[in-house]
Amino acid sequence: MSITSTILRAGEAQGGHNLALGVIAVALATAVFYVDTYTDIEGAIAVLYVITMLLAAQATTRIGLLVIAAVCAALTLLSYVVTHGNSADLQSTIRLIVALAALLVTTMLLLKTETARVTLLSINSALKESEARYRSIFDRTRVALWERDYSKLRSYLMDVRAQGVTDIKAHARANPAVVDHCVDLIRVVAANEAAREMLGPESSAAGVLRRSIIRGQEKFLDVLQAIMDGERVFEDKVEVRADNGEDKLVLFSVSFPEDPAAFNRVVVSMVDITQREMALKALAEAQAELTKASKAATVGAMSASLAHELNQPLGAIVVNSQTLLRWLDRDPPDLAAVRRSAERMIRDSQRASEIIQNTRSHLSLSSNKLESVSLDRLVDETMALMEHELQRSGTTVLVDRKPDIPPVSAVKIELQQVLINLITNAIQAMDEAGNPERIIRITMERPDIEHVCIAVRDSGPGITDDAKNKLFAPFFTTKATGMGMGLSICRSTLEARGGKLEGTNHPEGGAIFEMRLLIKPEVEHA
Amino acid sequence: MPPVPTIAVVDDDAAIREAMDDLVKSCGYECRLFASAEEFLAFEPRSAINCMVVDVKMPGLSGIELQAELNKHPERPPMIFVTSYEDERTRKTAINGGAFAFLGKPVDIEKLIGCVELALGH
Repeated sequence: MSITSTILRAGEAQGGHNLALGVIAVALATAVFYVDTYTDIEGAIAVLYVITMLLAAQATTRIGLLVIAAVCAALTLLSYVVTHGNSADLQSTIRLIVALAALLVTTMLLLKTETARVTLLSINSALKESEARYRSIFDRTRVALWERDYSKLRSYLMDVRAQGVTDIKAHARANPAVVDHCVDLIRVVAANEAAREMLGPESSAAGVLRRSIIRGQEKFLDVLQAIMDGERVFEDKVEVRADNGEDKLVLFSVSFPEDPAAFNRVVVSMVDITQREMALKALAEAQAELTKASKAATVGAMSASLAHELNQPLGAIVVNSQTLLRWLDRDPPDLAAVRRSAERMIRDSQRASEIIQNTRSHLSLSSNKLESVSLDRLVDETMALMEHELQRSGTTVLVDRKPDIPPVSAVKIELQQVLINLITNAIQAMDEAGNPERIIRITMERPDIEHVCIAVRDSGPGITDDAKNKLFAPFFTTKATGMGMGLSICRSTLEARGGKLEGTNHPEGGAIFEMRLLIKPEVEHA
Repeated sequence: MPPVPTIAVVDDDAAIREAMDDLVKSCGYECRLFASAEEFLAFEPRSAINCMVVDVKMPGLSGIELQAELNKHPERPPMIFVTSYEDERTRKTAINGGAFAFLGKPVDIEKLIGCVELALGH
């Protein structure tokens, strides 16, 4: 058994096949030996042992091959000795050498082939293992995974690019059908269990991709752009809709292969971050609530202390005025005493007004420090703060930056509050009008040496004639739940620093609000 | 002609003291001003004071503490408390300590004069 296993290949399915090969090989060797030894045919018959070896090589190991080669060589020599034992001539000797050389060369080649075969086998099994491992990770992981065929989409996008299109968003705006066409080009190859759980069985079934990215097409267009630009990775927060209609916020990530041929199996992953985002939102809301509460507490404490301080001079004024009446009621009136009372009242009134003045300047000193504010950074930070709002409403913000805008000396939080107000108004205006395309354009300009302007323009319905005149009036609002304080406060905030806020309709549609700021406010307009 | 009664005003606020001083004088009484409870305790003779108008809340000894201090002696002038804090507990403490009256600020002059007159036994 051990000899068999050394000579024959182990663990191979086609045992019967091997046996048949072996029998043929042995029969052939016997036939060759018979012809070589007992017939008078002149020629290198022994060369035919090569066929025996080729047959045997199919079923033997390296050692088996060597043994067979040795046997064949021995048989060749035996035939030679039997037939030409005592009458060796040059011709037969040459035939012997040719036969032996043929055997040697064949053996060497077969050994080499065998080595290559073994290597190939081990690579193949490693590949199979790797595929199995990948498959098991794909199936078992809690991350929702899809294998999607992007090859048709990719070649379509490459065609589009060859036609000179570089910005797919602009292209899609001009040709709205492009998006649907692109979605149709994607095929789902496979989806794992987590994917079925996340979006439901329909969205994960193999076949045409069911549209699950919602809220505008911006994110999908970003993916297309990434493919077009040959990027290797795309990752972003995306809102998706499950089969049951539930909206989820997911971290969407795709790794595109380097090899275009591999686009037929691109792995797409999604991690549900709805809970995390909701927690973050709740946290932000709690913080805002806390800020409000602490503001209220500060105001409460301040007014208590103010009331206490004011009570003294006011109390004195009350006593003095009543005393004054008493002096006046005398017969004759004591006018000198009346004068003294009146003078004390004037003094006490001034004291009361000083207390109020001090409190005001104390208030404005504590939080309103002028600093150098870069408008670029102001816009970036504000957008970061409003990221969720913008994403939720599917609003795109286009910022037109100019290199020559100097920083302004201002209270950053004030400018930020005004900007947040204007952007929020724009989002709400477009929301209420149900605009399909929601774009906010922020432009910065320097109209003259002293001023800079930030304009916020939306793609909404604009300001109605009715609203135009009352826009900045306190308590005027067009919103169902609005207080009507936003714009009025924004305007007085800017005016306090020598700035301006104007709102009008843009000639090309939409409302535009312009903040005009002094680069260097000379005095603090408190 | 009976001697003119003297009213003591104990208040930490100078404007209030001055206004009270003039008011008391307009009623025809003498007035002595004290900026704190400690200042009043240092004053001799206490028998020269016929009535007191005392602020409750003062730095140092409060009006209530001044009352407790004065209650240690058999004789003390009637005390009229004036306060901007309408606090029921303080009020009860003052009344239990024998306060003649407990008035809120800003003070009602007619009421205060009425109280003073009553305290002086007119």
